[in-house]
Amino acid sequence: MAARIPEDERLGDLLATRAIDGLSEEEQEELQELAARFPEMDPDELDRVAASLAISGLRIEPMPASLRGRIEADAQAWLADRERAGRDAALAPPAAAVAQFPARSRPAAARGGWLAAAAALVLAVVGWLQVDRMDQERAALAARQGTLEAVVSRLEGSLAEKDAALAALQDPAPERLLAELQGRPDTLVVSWSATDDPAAGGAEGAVLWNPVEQAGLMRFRGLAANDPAVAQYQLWIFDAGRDDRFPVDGGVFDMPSGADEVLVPIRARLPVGEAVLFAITVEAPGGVVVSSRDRIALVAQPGA
Amino acid sequence: MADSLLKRVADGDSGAIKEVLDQFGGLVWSLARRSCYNPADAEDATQEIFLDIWKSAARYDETKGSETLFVAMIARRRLIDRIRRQGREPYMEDIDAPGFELASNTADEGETFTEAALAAKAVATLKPAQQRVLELGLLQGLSHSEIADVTGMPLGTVKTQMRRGLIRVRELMQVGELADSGENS
Repeated sequence: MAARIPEDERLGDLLATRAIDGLSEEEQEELQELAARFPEMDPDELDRVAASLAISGLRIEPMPASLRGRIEADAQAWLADRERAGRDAALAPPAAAVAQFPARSRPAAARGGWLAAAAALVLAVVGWLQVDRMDQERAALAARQGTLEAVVSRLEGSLAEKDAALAALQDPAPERLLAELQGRPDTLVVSWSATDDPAAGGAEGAVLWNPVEQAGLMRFRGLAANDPAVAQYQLWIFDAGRDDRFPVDGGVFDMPSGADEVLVPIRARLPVGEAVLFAITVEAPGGVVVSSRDRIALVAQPGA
Repeated sequence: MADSLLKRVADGDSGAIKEVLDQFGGLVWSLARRSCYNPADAEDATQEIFLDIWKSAARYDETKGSETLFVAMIARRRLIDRIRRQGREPYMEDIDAPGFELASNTADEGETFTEAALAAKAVATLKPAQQRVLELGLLQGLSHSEIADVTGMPLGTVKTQMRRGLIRVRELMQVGELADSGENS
């Protein structure tokens, strides 16, 4: 059984904070100093408790095959590096081989010539070993460089692809995003239904959501203009895989006055698995973490 | 007794790498998906986590918990680090978990989740305030200050409840493990 966490309030705070939120560099240093006073303590205990809770009820999805392939390649490269490092360490000559000749005593001086010859022979052998080792190191480095260049090249390619995909979807102009979304067969399009909230009166439009790209956009006509200093609109996305009490925050936005149609990109703060309802609420400026749902202006329900 | 998978990884057994991916690939990927904004980010995070798992494999101590827990712990640390590096609010990977009360019922997925089921059952016995802060922190992913906003508790109280709650869950889990081993003996 692991040793209990000592009754040190600050240490307990730091361990609990690390388990939940992580620590800043300063806090990590402080934790190391405090933990050093309790060498019998198991510093990972609360992290394991948090991990236990984190995986309770976790819905396991299979890892994409392409990702698995990359991880296996990384692992093989790591194993090869480690093996090479171990081999190099084993080849290194022991330090005692070239040192520690005993001081010559007067009688030993007569054997000085022999000793000098022996020393020269040892140095020659060590020199040969060093040259051989350098050759091997050069070969190992060349092999390693080749592997690293291949890895860097693959990562660069992968990054370029991701950058391009992200650039296309992250912050495109709303009109361009609309065209992108409309051009994809897997994009969900759901019409808004207005509630009897005064902001909604006669509002219409639709929400477009692409679950693969985790990107979307809202179209509005007739939604009341808001004063951002008084209230703002906020989108909530209800996900079939999440607790209804905690829908995903889809972003805070404003309605300008006098506009015919307004396009608003969705900025989901978390991945959405299966969207089952989109709702627009009216909230305090800046939006909220958890909505009271007192004012729901529009809803859009896929399949309704 | 056969060596653990992680011990074999630490010994340089390349076959063990594939077995670790078979066994824990889905777990790590699912944790990363929950934590990251998009799939590309989740893929980068998963690669980073597995590199850390290979390097840390030698530190695994089977007397302190299962390999699943060790892997999940490393995954969470890396994900939290990434969130902090990116300067995002510390939204956690568990935001869409169904709640502890549900998790304790749904975690019956074999030995892999024994500790998770124990932890969920332990949470159910805590004081409501401790349950609430743990749920908001671990399942809904709110930071300490956000929990204080939502619950109206002072920040210091949130931290205290969180710490006491985690420590209490750990104690109850140890009791649960003892009870289980008693039943099995």
